[in-house]
Amino acid sequence: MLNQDPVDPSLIQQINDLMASGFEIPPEKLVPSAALKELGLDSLDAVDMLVYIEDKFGIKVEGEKLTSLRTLQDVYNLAAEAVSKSK
Amino acid sequence: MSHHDALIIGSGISGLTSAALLSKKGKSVLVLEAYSRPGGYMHSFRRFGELFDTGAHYVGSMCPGQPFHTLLNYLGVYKPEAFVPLNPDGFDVFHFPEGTIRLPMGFDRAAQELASHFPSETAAIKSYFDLIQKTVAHFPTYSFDGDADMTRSLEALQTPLTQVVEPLTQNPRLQALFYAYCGLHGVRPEDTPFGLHAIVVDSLIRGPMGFSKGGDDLTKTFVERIEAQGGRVLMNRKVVSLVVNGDNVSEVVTEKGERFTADWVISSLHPKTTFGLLTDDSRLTGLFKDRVRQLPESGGMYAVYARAQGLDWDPLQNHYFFDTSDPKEMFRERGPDEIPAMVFASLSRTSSNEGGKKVFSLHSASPYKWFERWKDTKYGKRPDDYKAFKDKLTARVFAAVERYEPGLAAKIESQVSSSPLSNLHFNGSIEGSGYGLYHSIQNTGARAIGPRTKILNLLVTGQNYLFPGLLGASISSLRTCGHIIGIKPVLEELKELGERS
Repeated sequence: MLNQDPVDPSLIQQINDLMASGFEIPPEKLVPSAALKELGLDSLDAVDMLVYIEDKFGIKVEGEKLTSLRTLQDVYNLAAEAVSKSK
Repeated sequence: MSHHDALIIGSGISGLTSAALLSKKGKSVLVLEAYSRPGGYMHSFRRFGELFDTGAHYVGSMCPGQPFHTLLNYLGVYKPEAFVPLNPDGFDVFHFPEGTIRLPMGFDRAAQELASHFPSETAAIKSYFDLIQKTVAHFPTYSFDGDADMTRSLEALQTPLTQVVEPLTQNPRLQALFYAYCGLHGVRPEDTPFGLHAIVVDSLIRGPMGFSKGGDDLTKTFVERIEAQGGRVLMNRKVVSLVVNGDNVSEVVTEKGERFTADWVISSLHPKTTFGLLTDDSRLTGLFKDRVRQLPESGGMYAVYARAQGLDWDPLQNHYFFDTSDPKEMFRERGPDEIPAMVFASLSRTSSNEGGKKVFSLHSASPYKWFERWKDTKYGKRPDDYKAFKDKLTARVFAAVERYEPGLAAKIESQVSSSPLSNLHFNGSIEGSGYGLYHSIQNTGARAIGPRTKILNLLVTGQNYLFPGLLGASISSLRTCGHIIGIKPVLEELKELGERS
């Protein structure tokens, strides 16, 4: 399933920046265990997130995995997995 | 003020499909159209006594049991006399500098014909057609299979056409032929989602039909059906705002100041237009608004509508005139002083093509930027330099065709032309684009916008949210309306009807 290796801190930072600027989420709420739903994000936001991550890192994320995202850590893992696959 | 189950903005084929489907399911529907006539890209018009179509040139998968035939039949708008089968021995004729290829109907015949032109590529041709047929089966709103494997369709929409074709054949001429239909949606082969391409090719090869009475006739049938089911279609009702109250659109306001309410609002307008109508867009995130703002548009079209005498064209064929068979050059943007890389010719299928008389339209890519300087001038009152520029473009379109049809210009009796500005005037398409937003892998599949939005009762439909063209726009409404009436039962009924046909 998802890559369980520790995620590159700079990748985490970039995703947190996206959450703060693109979705206007207060930075203090951006902890790995935060549930996306609790952050006010829904499946439509997940699509925007996918588009942003793909464009920012020049990678392809498997679209169907979006539905399984629950926490911020899941987003980190999905992005990290896509980045490592593209290398 | 009247209240409806669903208010539908725009009366192109997606708006009309939504209205016909929802009213069939017992919902009260009202369609609001800005223009004085319904139909959007299905508009026909008369000039010098001839009937021309702006967008309804031909459509695929129209034989009994095939998707579009089944869908129109299901919606109660299929009339056999409105359609005419194109020439089964060659419905599309592709002209390249090295020779002409006629594409016959049916995969076996098409493969045979292509193999006769490319004898050493028989395996590549077979693999290509096999892949197309396998791929389309994964699209639930095309195969009408509610259990279709969506991971496969999403994957096919993430895969560029070139990435499928290049490993199959190194022959640039065969590659060019495989890419030729990109002219139908204006997306370059390297950006074209293979899934979209597969549906275009599959539908055309299996069931190509023309409109024997023009696109207006299908529009009329749709409107009659919607009205028979209790719905209404109102003209001259330009929507100027969607009043947002809490999580929902509470009112739809027209230019005339009328206010309508509905449980659901379906907009078939471009996303840039739709989301711009919201009185309060604070439910949209900055990221989403940026995405919408940055969506690229498909190119504009320059069209010449003409009547000629003594032209030996079969009314039941279309022609694609390519100036090059170099796959890297065939969809490169060219300047107004160059010959167009491709011209698409579609003949009128009405009974007007008798004797030596031929009525047809010629379409070529023409970016909006060529016309932008006249954007503030009014339709019908544009200045002389605009007209002079159009004359120049008409001459270059004729020149592109004359390479294969010498003496064409001398055979023209009457002609009139349209530019992206005309399209902007009649259809309100952003930058006068021919196919809505640019349907690249960047804007399709998992990355597409809609059909749901952050405004809970606002859904979107039409070619901008799924695929371009009459078929794409129409099936996008299945997906959209599925959020109101449930998609699975509709797909099951469609499947059953298709199997019975």
